[in-house]
Amino acid sequence: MSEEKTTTPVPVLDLSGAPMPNVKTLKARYNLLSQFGKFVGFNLSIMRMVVKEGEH
Amino acid sequence: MAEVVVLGAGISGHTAALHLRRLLGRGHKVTVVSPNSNWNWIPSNIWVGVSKLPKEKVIFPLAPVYRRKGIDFLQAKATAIRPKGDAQDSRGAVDIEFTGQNKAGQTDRIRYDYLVYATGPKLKFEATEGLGPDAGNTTSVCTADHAREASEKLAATIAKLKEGTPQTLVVGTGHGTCTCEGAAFEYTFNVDHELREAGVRDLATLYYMTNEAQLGDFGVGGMTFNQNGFETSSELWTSSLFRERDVRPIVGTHVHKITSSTINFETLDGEMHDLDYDFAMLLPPFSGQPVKAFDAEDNDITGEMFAPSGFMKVDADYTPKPYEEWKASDWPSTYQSVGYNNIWAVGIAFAPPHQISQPRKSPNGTVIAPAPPRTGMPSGVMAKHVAMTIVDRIKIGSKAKAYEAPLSKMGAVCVASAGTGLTNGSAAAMIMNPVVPDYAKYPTGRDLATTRGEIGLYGHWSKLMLHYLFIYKAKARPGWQLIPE
Repeated sequence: MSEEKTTTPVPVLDLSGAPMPNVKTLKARYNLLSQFGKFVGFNLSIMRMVVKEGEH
Repeated sequence: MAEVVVLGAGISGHTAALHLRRLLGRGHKVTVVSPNSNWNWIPSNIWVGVSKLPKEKVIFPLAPVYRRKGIDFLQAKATAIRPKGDAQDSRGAVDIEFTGQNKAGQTDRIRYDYLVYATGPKLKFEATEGLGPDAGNTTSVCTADHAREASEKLAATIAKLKEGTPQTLVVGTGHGTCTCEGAAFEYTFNVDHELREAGVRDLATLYYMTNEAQLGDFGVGGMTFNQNGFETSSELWTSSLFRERDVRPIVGTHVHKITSSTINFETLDGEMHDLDYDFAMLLPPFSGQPVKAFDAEDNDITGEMFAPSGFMKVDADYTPKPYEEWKASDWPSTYQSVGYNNIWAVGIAFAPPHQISQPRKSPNGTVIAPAPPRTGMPSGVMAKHVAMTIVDRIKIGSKAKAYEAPLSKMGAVCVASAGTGLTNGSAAAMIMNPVVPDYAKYPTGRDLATTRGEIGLYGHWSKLMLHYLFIYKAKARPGWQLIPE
């Protein structure tokens, strides 16, 4: 099944214009300290949204 | 004594039942009717599907929880609703057929004073020829069992890759009107992550096949985020991830037929294509459950209570109108059934007025339009608000004001896993506010101050935390009600 295939051309989206993350961005995604800060911030955002909706 | 019946024990039904029990005294009866004996934290089925979690970690039996909480549980499916009762009794009734509790196949008619219709979707695999686990071709992650089967097939594919045999994997939507594109996105990147961890990514070609017209649509028309001083679209943001991970997107698709080796699909331009595959996870479209409705004289009133999709009509504006005339106010607020002030439909079970994303058709007339998602958080919020409405109606009276939870005023959190690992996992952590865009209020449709999306390890930690928190909450452990929906 995975040898020679006779498929019709498949219209894969051209992503050549999509931005690629640089090395600094990729490292930041897995930096434990900064990611912990983002974890706290994200969950605070959620709580703010929940509290605000509870007030309505 | 009031009798409240909840049909369904998914995120919506179970949430409604727990809040009803918590807020009502034991003098009132709460009954849950569900064909499943287990509760499933569906967002984590993705991880079952890539063998990162066993099935047992995403399900637990409902009966002990309901017993502990004083909720009656009938393991049965609803087959008909009789909102005006029958010749014997004018109280509303539901016809049920047992699926367990040693009574499989037996039928009964149960009465209610208040009904919460939270049945969730019917997984309509039959809408596409050859789709789904039963047909033996493609897999699914919609249920824990499906996800386990997917993990076994994926493991077999990875084994072939390790032997040096190139493989083609396809993940996405199996029909032009699917929803849950977020789940397909998650599974795609979890598969990518597993292939990389196995050291075989270079031999695998991974496609993402979706009915979204653009990447990042997610069935909600996409989002705009403020990032680094610019307004960024979710399309650009997701395209970046696809390019980074070498996942090949095919957008605007409707799958017509699937065989054991080939996916035949149409794209928005009306062209037909064949894609040979070795492994595929394609989600089914949803419809409402096959529940009928009858009046007291046994006349069929299904068409009055339910939309053609099979979902229950509620307080939405169902007037047919073109996309350009859609408004946020078209969407329901109280989820009360049309014509019956003691029936509500929540979660996936209510009929949306229309899509959120712009609907499209190919030149052949094929509808390729993502259906609107009703994700976990909004489903839980709707259910809690309906429970509070019912409690007030019981305690205060029938004139008690209904609580409102419109999707056009409610935000939602979506965390789409892109691979597991406490130090090397990631997820796209998104907040969209509101779920249904309101272009009259916000130029981009949503509040830019609170709508955000970012990919990182913290997203994985967030999804993991939600996994533990929501299973704790669903088991009704001490303090469960303090965990927000």
